[in-house]
Amino acid sequence: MLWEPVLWGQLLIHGVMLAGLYGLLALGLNLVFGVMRVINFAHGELVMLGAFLTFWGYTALGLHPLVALPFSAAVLFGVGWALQRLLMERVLGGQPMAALLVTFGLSLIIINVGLLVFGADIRSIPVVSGSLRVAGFVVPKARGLAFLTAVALTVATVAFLRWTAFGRAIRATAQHPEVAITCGVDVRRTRLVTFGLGAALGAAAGSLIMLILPMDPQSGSLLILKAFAVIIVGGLGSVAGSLLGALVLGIAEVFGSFFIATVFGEVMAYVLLLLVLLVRPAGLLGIAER
Amino acid sequence: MLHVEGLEKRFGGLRAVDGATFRLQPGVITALIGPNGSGKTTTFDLITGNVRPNAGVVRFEGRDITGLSPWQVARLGLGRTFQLPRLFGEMTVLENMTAAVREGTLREVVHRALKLLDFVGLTAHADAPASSLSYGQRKLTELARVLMLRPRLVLLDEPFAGVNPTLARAIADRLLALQRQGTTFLVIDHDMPLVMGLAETVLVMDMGSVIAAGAPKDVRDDPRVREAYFGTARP
Repeated sequence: MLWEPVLWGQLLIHGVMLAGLYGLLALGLNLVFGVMRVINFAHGELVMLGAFLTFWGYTALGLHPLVALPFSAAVLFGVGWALQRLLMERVLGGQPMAALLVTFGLSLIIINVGLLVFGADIRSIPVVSGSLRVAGFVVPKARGLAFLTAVALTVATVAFLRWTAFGRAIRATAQHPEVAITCGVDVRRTRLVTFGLGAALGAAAGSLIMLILPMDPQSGSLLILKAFAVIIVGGLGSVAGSLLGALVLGIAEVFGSFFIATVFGEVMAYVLLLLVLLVRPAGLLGIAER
Repeated sequence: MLHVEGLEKRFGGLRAVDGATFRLQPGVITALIGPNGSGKTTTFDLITGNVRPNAGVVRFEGRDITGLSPWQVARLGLGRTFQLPRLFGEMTVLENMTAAVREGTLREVVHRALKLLDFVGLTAHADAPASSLSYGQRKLTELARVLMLRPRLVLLDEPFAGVNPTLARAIADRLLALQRQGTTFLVIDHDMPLVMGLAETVLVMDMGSVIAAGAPKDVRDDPRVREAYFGTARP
């Protein structure tokens, strides 16, 4: 394809905007993995639940999705907390496969309950429409809004982890739970909050994704694949890595679907996963398995 | 200060700690010595709640702390360090120091952390990743980190092992300075001359129980101690 700066710039902007959402999507999954050392297969379903709660707030209560988002995140925080308290605590620290299977089973249950409650229809929240022209490039308002909100939430989360006492306790627990506990960190409570936070971040990501992409109760399984790709490409457990991974996936999807075929965008996650696992299994900024 | 009575821990058929009983006086540095496998580190683990005892009671400042979680014990003012220093490798030295402290504003906590880093001579490394430190520096960081909890009693597991004599002396001097300020220490170590010069009281463990306690000189001459270390004494 020809070198056309405006076209390439436009594609890049779209890629980066998508990356902002993928970064937030993967952040919660990565946080939970970092602290619990377990991949939460139900993360995509928590994302879907958050999105549908926001959708419900929009249709039933007439709330703007950005107003409904904090409520849906708060509810999912509670859901995450309860799942950790009632389910995950019983399997963590035992067979790793047991914890994986529990989250896998959970995702199946949530999908099917979602189908019962919400129906199988594809929903969207088309509340923001139109687009802006910024320096000669077209920026759809919905995408711009979703992107900016996602970036703000990601920055806030990273700042929370870095500069608050509780954030440092979460990082300490992720790195060395048995040392954190002798330093006075209530590791059990830290894990409860982390799972809640992971679910809340997922809910926020889902709500924002629903602004630009239609979803149904089964969409979570597609979204978690993208989140997987992001954190595998970036490196498991590395927050900076997952942001880089999101950038790679977002841009690859946009360029792939434009230059190769529209469907190729959806294939990119798999392609990147395979490439990274073949060439650099620890991920771009990943730490080798300790 | 600390009152340990009839502490017992079995791992399968092995009695790692078998009825250990002792008291620590406040403001005193006490050494805990004994042959390898005599149960010293397990005793630490039992006191701090890292391992649950099968029997026995641990009282700290009159309060029964048996079976509390390690973080509760730490927050009560009973800190510990490990045989091999364990730091949060992906955090800076300063972040390691502030990882657990909840009281006070961040500014106050950082101020205190910097003062303690100055105390152990690591100010220049405050912003270095903990993983970049040398072994000796890690030991010092771990010591400074446990002090962040303002502990009244600190259990040190081999603070002098693997560090050069100059650094060992420096660590010993810091402990004496802290002791003068009222901190109580229980120190496991194998460096006999250093421990004997540092500690006012020595506890000797063998086969999971405390077989002797007293002033360093008396303990050194105790025939049971000689037997534990060197086998049966021959006349």
